[in-house]
Amino acid sequence: MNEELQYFYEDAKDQLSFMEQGLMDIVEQGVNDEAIGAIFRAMHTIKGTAGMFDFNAIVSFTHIAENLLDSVRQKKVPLDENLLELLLQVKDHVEKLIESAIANTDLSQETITTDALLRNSLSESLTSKIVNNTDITVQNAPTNDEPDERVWHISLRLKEDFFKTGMDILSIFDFFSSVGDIISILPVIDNIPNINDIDPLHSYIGFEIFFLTAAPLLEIEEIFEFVAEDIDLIIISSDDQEQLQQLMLQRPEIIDILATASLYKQTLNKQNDEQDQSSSTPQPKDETFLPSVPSIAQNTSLLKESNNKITQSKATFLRVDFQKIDLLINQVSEMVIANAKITQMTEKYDDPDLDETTASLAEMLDTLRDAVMNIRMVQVEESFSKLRRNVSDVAKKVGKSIEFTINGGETELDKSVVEKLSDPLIHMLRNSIDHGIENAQERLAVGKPEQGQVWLRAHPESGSIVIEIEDDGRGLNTQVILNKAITKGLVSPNDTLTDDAIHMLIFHPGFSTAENISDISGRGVGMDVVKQNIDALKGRIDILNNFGYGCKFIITLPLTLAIIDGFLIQAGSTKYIIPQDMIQEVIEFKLHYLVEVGGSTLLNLRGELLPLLNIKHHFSDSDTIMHSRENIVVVRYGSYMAGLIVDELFGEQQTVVKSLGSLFHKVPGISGGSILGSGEIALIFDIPALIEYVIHHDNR
Amino acid sequence: MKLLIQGLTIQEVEKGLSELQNALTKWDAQEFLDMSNIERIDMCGIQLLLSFQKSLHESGMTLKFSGLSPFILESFILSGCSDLLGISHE
Repeated sequence: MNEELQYFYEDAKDQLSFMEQGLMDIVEQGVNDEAIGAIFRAMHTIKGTAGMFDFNAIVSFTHIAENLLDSVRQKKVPLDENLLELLLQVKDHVEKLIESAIANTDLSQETITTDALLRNSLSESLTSKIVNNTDITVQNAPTNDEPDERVWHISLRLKEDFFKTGMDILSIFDFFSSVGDIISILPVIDNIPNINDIDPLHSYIGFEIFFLTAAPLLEIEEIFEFVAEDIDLIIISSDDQEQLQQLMLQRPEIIDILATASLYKQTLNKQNDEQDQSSSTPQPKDETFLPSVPSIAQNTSLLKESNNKITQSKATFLRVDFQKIDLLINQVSEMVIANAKITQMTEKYDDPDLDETTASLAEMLDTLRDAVMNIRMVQVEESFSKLRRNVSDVAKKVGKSIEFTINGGETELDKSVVEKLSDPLIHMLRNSIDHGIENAQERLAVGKPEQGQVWLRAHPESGSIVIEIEDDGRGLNTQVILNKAITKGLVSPNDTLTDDAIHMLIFHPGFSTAENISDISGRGVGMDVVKQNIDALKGRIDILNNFGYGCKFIITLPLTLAIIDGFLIQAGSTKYIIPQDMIQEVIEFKLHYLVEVGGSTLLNLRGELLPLLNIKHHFSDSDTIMHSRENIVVVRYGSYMAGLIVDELFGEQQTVVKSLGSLFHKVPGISGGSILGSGEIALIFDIPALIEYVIHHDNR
Repeated sequence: MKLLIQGLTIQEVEKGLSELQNALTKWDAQEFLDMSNIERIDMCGIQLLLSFQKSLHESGMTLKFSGLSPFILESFILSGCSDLLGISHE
């Protein structure tokens, strides 16, 4: 996929997401002009940009939807429940049209049928409802409430290789008419060589465009989004004399061109007249209408200032291919490893200058690493908001009334984690609505409000991100789960399990049955797949159950997966890295810290009893070297803590997480490996898995 | 003088250049550029026509068109180049 097409695809997905969010806002909070405007703009933008790529199926379909939405916007057509449902279907269908256009495949028969049905429904909604609402139309007909139309001066230069991008600037000019009215386009042709000197594939042309629209600057800039890197663009308000002066300083060739712009002249003269009338100080009329151009020599500072101002007015976001960021992260990862090696080599020389330089380099690398990793961090808000549609659809399908509340959408998480989290969350929410929330009669019978509550929350907690899915439904029935697990042979009737351990059985692969695999999801996945997905993200799930009153699933996830701040230790003959965020404290091992309780050895940490794991024994290390002293590293994950008995402590270590491959796939408690400066391999602890192991071990 | 190619887009513009360079050598002051074969055009093609026009001006001649299809005419207007190319809007 070429870059322009990729931009189109990403932008269209964003627009559809805005549309869905707008529709869900209306479903949940009632009709509001802002949401209707967002929905209209989404359809309008997709239509326009699809046109640039000649995706005619998308253009013709979105054109009909846009017409209807325009009537909704003008209050000619009321936005009722049926129309909302239709528009949600429109959004889904446009998504399919886009996928098909991008893949360059023929539409499936099903999509063609849906297309015809939806076109019909949209046209019917437009015609029948307008007729049925004549008085509304009449009341609103003389609307002349277009906000602040103004003339923008767009100064556009095509870069030398513009034509080679495959984009035709004429398609973009064509799109202008859907955002406003082009008053005039004045080509800048001075640089075009004659026919014997021209390279026909190079671009030499520019344009001065005068464009009347109510759209804000950002929206005008978005028209050029797909070609942003291949043009030089300056947009100013045509009534801003100061910016015009600065533009003429930057592009003096436009002075002659503007002098021929009669419409522009009229506009400016009219504006000058208005200014003169409103001004208390009479100003001399400038016959040439154009402001006098100060000499370049006198105005270098003005030029610099103008560059700053113009740059500031441009969009502050840059869309970057995710693969480019991954490449950057990989390179930074390699630098971290190389730097660890340099640091180790430096220790051989007693050279203060070398030490200082190395320390300074390490510090810069640290900052660089944080900055690079931060690029991948995204707020979970957008991803969570998309789930509103799923909740609404499932609730409708099972005939339940649900209030869905999202908290903590501003919480940031690695983008790759957010993407992989989507499916498990969808399934868990569906599970809560389908199985957790009782039907209306049951709820009323036990004194609950008819409407069920489902919450989705996110917050950071000690180097992790915690996501909670909670409902006020019937909760898990511990005895029913245990009985089913015994029937299925997952546990023995003689096993003594805590309630928490019994609840966790719902994630066991053998537990899901046809009756509790939700047909709603249409994917046939059980809770075991949810658990697998969370495990793959190095996260863990806990259940907080309150039988009869609701259930809370708590997912704890690491902040990021690629580079971590680690703490290097040794146990036996092996070096390990513990993610530093998960270290609560480190203490020297003393026998009096140990307490025997029910056959288990626990750590007594200032009166708090914590499970304890001897790393050397756990990983069956046969090392016989006597270490001078042992230490206990107290680790924490979410609300869980445990003590790890280790030998040597080496300290902080920037750690690049590397996969260990299939050989170590089934080693519990190890999440990956890292190459140390010495070239040795250190194994990275999977703290959630180790904690789960010790807790599980104790529960049994 | 009739252009033989069917399009003046980025894909065909190099052939267009060759035809126009050849045309320049034989151009007569009364000549029209016959565009009746041209079914498609983009900004790259319009730029080439502007270049051709510049060369004619340098030789004291003007560029006049014949056989313009409505689509080509619309493209000239949309690009803002119709006035420069001597095309009347009416």
